[in-house]
Amino acid sequence: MATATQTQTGVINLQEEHRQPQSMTRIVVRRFFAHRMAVAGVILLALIVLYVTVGAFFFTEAYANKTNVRAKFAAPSAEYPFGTDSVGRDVMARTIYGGQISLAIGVVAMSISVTLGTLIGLAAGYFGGLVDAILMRLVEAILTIPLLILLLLLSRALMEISSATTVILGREISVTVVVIVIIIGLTSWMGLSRIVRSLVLSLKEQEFVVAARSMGAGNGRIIFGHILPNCVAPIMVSATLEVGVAIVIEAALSFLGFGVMPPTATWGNILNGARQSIDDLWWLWVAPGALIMATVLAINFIGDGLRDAFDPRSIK
Amino acid sequence: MGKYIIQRVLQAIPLVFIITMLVFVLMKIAGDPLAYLAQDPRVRPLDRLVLRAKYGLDDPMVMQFIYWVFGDEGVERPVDVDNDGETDFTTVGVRRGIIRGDFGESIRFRKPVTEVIGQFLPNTLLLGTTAFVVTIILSLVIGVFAALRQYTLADNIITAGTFITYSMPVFLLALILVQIFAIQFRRWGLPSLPVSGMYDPRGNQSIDELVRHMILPVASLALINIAGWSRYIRATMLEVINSDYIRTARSKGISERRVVFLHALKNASLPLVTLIGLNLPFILSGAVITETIFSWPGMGYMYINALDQFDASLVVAFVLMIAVAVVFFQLLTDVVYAWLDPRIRYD
Repeated sequence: MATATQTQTGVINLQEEHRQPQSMTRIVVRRFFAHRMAVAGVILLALIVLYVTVGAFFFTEAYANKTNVRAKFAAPSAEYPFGTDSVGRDVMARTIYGGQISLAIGVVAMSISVTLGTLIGLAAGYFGGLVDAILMRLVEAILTIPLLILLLLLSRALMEISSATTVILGREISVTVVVIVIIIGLTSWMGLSRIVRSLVLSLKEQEFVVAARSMGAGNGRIIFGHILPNCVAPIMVSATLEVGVAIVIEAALSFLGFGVMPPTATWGNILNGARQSIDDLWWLWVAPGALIMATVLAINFIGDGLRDAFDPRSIK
Repeated sequence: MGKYIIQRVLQAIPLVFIITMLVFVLMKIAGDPLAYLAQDPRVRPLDRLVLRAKYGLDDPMVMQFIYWVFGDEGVERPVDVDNDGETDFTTVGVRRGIIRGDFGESIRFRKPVTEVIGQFLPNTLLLGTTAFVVTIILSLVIGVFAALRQYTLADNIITAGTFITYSMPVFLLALILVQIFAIQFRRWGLPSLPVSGMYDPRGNQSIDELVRHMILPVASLALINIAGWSRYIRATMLEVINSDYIRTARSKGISERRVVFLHALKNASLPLVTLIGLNLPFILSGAVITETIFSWPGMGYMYINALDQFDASLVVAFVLMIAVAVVFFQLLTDVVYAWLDPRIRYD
């Protein structure tokens, strides 16, 4: 089947894509890298990841968490490029180790919410009836409470153990990191579940699903073998954007003092220092703030690029 | 139409019930409402026992939920003070239940929570509504302007600007505004803007002062929302402007201004009704982050402090109030939309 593609000049070109048969993945990858903003996003994100990983070779985590009251609120200098905070910790070292935690929180929370959103959307869409009614009413009910309000409440309820630490991958990390990851993951799947559900509703009536069923495929095989692969595009776009959302939410919670507790640094709880004083301590928030913004901007660009790359209507 | 409204109301009832249950479960997860007493040395164990009975904390969960919703007037609970198996005295429930507006008493303010909320709500409404109106007006102007000049330099600059603000967390924007308009302006000897509260504690409580105190929080709230909203308006406007009837209107020689503002904007504003209707109730919840940064005594500020001190009944009343408001406005939006758009069928 020849695919008609329309070039920028408006000339209909019937040959271009026909000449070279390509897999869906290759088409998506090619389109993605043709998207200028998306490439800029990838580069920006790579630089940030480089900063938080390579930077870790210059400072140890113990140094990042070490307090030095005599050097508190030091302005940026050669010794402390980003200055120091209220207890004399090096803000630069903290943005490096805090960045690792912030990015990790984004990725893990996204994994939880995407898994939940996909499974719930698949179940509601495929089984319909009572399952659908219950799940979708639950989604509606959760969505009536503003996300930040809900998260603050959950965080307050589960933070009784705030001073405890746990060892993850050989690093001593505040338990609050785990709590925050879980509650963000548990409260941000609703949007995706609605998208997946509506997709499944139309997919399950199509011929290939009917064919699979007539050949004796069970529900599990139809859902995961036939329907799920057709939902990959919106899931991947949501997953990308969700990383950014989770990072901002973590930062907001930590900024308000309901997030990750020190000594473990995150970009958000470095900013918390800036909240406690409205004096001219700009270095407390400029570096972590800029890093959060750059990360979210990069992720939004990538998400946009992915959406266009997956969109069969987009021309390129 | 009447049938449609009744149908939507009937759909909303189970939703409100699920929300109420969800909030109750959250309240129970959040912990023991009497935990604060444990730290108070003046409270004897006996008092704790009496209070537990008074609030029915040892009742089965299902009964606790029913009492919480419908009240427990006249329900007697025996209290066994010395643990000898004999009832020493009984407490009688007096709660009237949330269904009749009894949300209990705030621990911190020692007043009914409805009164406490009534005290903070006007401040939030003032801040939120102002920011909302500013957001709508500016997004309309920016969105329509960008749509009419699609892919020109101006449109691209607006696009870049909205993308950056859209990626900016509200606290970062607020901190930047504070740094520029409060700290730097003061340093440069320019008239700087206040960053805390509604009035200067030393100054007078004039409208003038209030407006000065509102500028930065309103700007933070509005700028963040304008980014998303103006994109939305640009997109709907583009869709309408490229449609056939607009081309027809233009070909008939109607002035461009008339085409844009009468023919196009009127239809493009339909989705805007949904956007406004669905976002309106969220004004009530206050802007937690903005109100905290600017110490604005509104609902968000109250909520953070209630959480800090674990003022459970206040927290729960607040969350439930917002959730019910959201359901109500969803219903209202649907009805208004159906009324505005004749293409929507009621059945």
